[in-house]
Amino acid sequence: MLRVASVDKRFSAEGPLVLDDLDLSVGQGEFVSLLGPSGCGKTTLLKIVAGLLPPTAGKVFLEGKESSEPSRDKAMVFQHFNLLPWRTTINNVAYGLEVQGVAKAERLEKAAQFLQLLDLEGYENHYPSQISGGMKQRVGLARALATEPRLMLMDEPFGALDALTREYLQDELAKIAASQNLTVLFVTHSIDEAIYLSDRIVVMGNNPGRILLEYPVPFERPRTTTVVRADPRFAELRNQVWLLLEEEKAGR
Amino acid sequence: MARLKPERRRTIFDWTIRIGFAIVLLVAWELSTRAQSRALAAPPSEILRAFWELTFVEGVIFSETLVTARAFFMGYGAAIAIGLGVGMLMGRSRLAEYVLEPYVTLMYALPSIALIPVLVIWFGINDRIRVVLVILASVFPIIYNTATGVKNVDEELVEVGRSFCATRRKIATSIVLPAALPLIFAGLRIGLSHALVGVIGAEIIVVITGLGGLVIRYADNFQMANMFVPIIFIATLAVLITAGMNRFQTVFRRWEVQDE
Ligand SMILES: Nc1ncnc2c1ncn2[C@@H]1O[C@H](COP(=O)(O)OP(=O)(O)OP(=O)(O)O)[C@@H](O)[C@H]1O
Ligand SMILES: [Mg+2]
Repeated sequence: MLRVASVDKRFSAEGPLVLDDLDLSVGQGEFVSLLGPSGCGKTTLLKIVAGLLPPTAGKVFLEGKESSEPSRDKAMVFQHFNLLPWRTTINNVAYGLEVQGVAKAERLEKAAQFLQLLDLEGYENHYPSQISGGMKQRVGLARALATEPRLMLMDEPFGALDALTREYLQDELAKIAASQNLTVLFVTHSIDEAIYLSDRIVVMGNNPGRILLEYPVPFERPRTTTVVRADPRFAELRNQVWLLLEEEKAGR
Repeated sequence: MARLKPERRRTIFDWTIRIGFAIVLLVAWELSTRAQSRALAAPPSEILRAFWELTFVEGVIFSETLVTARAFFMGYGAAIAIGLGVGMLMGRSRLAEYVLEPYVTLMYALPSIALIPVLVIWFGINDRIRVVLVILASVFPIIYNTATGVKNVDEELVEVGRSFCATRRKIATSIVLPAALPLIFAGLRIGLSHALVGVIGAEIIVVITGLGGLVIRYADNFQMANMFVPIIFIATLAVLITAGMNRFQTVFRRWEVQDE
């Protein structure tokens, strides 16, 4: 469904190579996690796929067609939430729908529905400055989900959450992804999270940002975190990925 | 009976001091000016009488207030429209900023009344001068602050709009403008005080009309008590307009309140 073909990225002509000849394919309905050290270009890659940054070389294809601009098929969950501080929670969630011309009553109803899904009932009329970091993150998630994209680009969407909420939302996301047949490109720093959620884990290396290895995850979806954790293959995969990341760190 | 909290007691204490100080000032003013020539100074009691006369008996002051307010609002309104437009342009376009920035900086720094002679040459001694001067006085702080606010909008917020395929226009109205609002309001407030100086300055120095005109006419006739009346009206007008602006601002910036 998504194909990233030989993408290079520099932020300026003399700047360092941030992404080096990166190739990546994601199939329809597939859930792929990107794992890698800080600064290896995960956010940059996601923004290039989203059409928010132009690649220096290479192309992005969505269902065979070049896709260099944002489109309604894609939605992004930002690492730093990027909520609009002058909008209440519900109006933040409705923002994407508003931009896409959905009528007011309809978009508010839909926004309320997604707030409920993410356990944010009762905070509809709070401003971002009045809610916690974890709640902001969920608002950002709801905002992207509300537009019902086919490809979700998620930049550490659970980074600011406590362990319990995180696990709850991981299961929720797995359910949503399965029921809506979402294709997901998911950035995380947590190996466990990558294993719980994805069909495939792509490990990136630093300087320049590039793909080191890909690991298929050997569990059927949908699945729950508790079941995965109990499986011996979980520990084995976890260890493999961990060793690769350690090696990459030591190699520099 | 509930005991007063220390804070509450302090408020009453503050009020007492405040009113007491005002009374002391007025009495000192009254005593020191009573014996003086009326051509040089007027005691508060006579200013009060003049206030009553001019406001409720003769009633000239209201029509002159309208004359001043009208020129002010015309000029300031035009300055807001021009200032927001040019400021947005400068904030979004590198080229526009590069070309216009020197003029804006220069004109922002220049005290606008320095332009009065040249305006007199171009427009003659004419009512329109006030509106032009108000625009020149207030448009540059509005342009400058709007441009700075728009330029410094967090690019990541703009990316939110772009990621949902928002049009440029939608991004401007739903993201750039609200994000720049704090600085835009700063510009509007600075522009407001410059505009007041501009309109009153022009009325006193050239056009001799409105409230400023009354001040200079009474002063020329050595009617000191009367002279203070339009000054009181100018101060009141300024306070009301500023309060209106602050109110307008809080309506737009509710979201900055941290807790309810
Ligand atoms: N706008 C920019 N201009 C210049 N350099 C940039 C810009 N954005 C990112 N970079 C550089 O690109 C590299 C990759 O950044 P990126 O944000 O993609 O990393 P990341 O993998 O998302 O890191 P993290 O895990 O910490 O979020 C970094 O070295 C960063 O300094
Ligand atoms: Mg990142």
